[in-house]
Amino acid sequence: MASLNLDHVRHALSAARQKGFAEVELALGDDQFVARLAPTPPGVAKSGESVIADEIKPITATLVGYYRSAPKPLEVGSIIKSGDLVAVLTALGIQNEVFSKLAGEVVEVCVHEGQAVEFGQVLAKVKVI
Amino acid sequence: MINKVLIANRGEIACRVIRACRELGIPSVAIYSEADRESLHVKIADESVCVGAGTNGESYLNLANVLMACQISGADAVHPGYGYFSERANFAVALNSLGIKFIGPPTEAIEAMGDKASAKKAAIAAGCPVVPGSDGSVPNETEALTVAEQIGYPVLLKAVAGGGGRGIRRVDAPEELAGLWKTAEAEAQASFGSGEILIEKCVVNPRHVEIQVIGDSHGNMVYLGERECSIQNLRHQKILEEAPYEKLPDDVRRKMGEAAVRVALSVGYHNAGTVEFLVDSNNDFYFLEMNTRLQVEHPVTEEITGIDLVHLMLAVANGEKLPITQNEVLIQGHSIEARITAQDPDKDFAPATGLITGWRTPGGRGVRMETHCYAGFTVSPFYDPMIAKLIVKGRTRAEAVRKLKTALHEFEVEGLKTNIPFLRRLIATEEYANGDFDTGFVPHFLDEEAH
Repeated sequence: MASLNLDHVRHALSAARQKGFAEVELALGDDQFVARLAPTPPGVAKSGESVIADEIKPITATLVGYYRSAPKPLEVGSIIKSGDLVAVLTALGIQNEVFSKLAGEVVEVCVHEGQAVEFGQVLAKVKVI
Repeated sequence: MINKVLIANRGEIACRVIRACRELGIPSVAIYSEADRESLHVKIADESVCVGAGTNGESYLNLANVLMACQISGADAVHPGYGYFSERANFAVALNSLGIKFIGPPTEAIEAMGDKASAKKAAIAAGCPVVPGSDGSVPNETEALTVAEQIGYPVLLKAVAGGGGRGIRRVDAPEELAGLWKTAEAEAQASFGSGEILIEKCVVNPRHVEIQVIGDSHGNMVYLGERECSIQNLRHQKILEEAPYEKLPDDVRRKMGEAAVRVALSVGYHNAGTVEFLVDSNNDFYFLEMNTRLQVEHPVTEEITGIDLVHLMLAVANGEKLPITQNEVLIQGHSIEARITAQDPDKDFAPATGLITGWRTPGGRGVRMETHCYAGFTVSPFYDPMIAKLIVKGRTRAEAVRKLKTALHEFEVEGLKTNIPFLRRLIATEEYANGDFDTGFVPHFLDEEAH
């Protein structure tokens, strides 16, 4: 029976890259190959993701919901570590925990208990240590 | 009463619905992804909620975030637009459980029309012609010959488990059947894991003609004429749509309209919907499917009937009675819509993305633009490549075609490739000018161009 081989896939991928396609789907017999091509080559870090000491960085909402403070609430002056539970966002009856990706000192809390937040909204600002 | 509408969509259709809300004095809420922060729909809505990062799955199709956006914004009704959640019954159910109205048909009607088999059953039950064929799979070649004889050649052998146009063989005469049966069976087994084959009449050189219906929750429904959508790309996506279908005899139009209303009412439909048909060269028509949403090409119907479909959708969702009866539906003039996409016609219509540096849109009498783009807007790679709809209206088809030519001549987009040059060439053909085409037109045109 006909099946996909590596040459088919290589050829399709190179053609797709040349033409600037976003997706490649190949099917032959039982075989299937699906790939999504990144608009920018993978491995290229986005600018601004490096963390510099003393820089002020935000903790943002990971989903749309209502802000509830964590057992240890976000307060100006408190010190947090990467991986700390910093907030809970309730949505459709589910408590979603937000963990910090930053380590540093909280310099501003931008939300109040029960406030509705959108995706990406700044919950607090942290001075990176 | 509807007090605030959230539009669970993006792009031009979100703008379209937001404008209708403003005209009716209803506050609107836009949702958007981070990639769409600068889109026009966000700027013209009264409020907006970011529902996720760039991709559809993270944002516009993120059910929890979209539902939460509805809840935190205080919207009491949601317009789904087209695509996305518009034909997902579970979305309507989830909204209802939050006490929010879904501006569209009842969930049972969405489900009844959701798959082709049950939709076809509903059409047959409502006395609407369907493409003749075997009732389910055909066990063997001998049986296949009998069925093919009954419905008449040419016929199509289709994999029962197939889809997307794959696993289909056309048989023109009985002596071809045996050989093609074996190929089709083997192919179906290999591609879909089931060798089951059904037989359907092959509608030769069909036109794609669809009927717009709208009904209220009091059992009233009207049809608003037809749209001709045969100009489709190689992936069966519509490119140019027009209304009316000039060559359709009045009695066929009436029969199709009445059949569409019967089918819709039989599944308890209300709000706006579209019943799609194939029409052959004898003007025999066959039910294809029903789209339980507002369609991309709805403006051409609005142009020839003078009816604002989104206004009506909001009114009937609000429990109001349809303000019109069938006798009051008058069709005047001719309208054409061209879908402008960010696709490079010189690179097999590969999607084009990037900053729009220049954007000069056409204008003048009888020219309507529906778009979320402008100079300075960046077209991202995450979404459908459609960047605008250009709609023209003339007294006759010939006048509408002239207006479309003029408008496409004016339309200039800089910074990224669009299909505009392709559209200009396509509508310059004699066949297009004469309205002389079927669903095979674009493949044929591309072949001609290649030579």
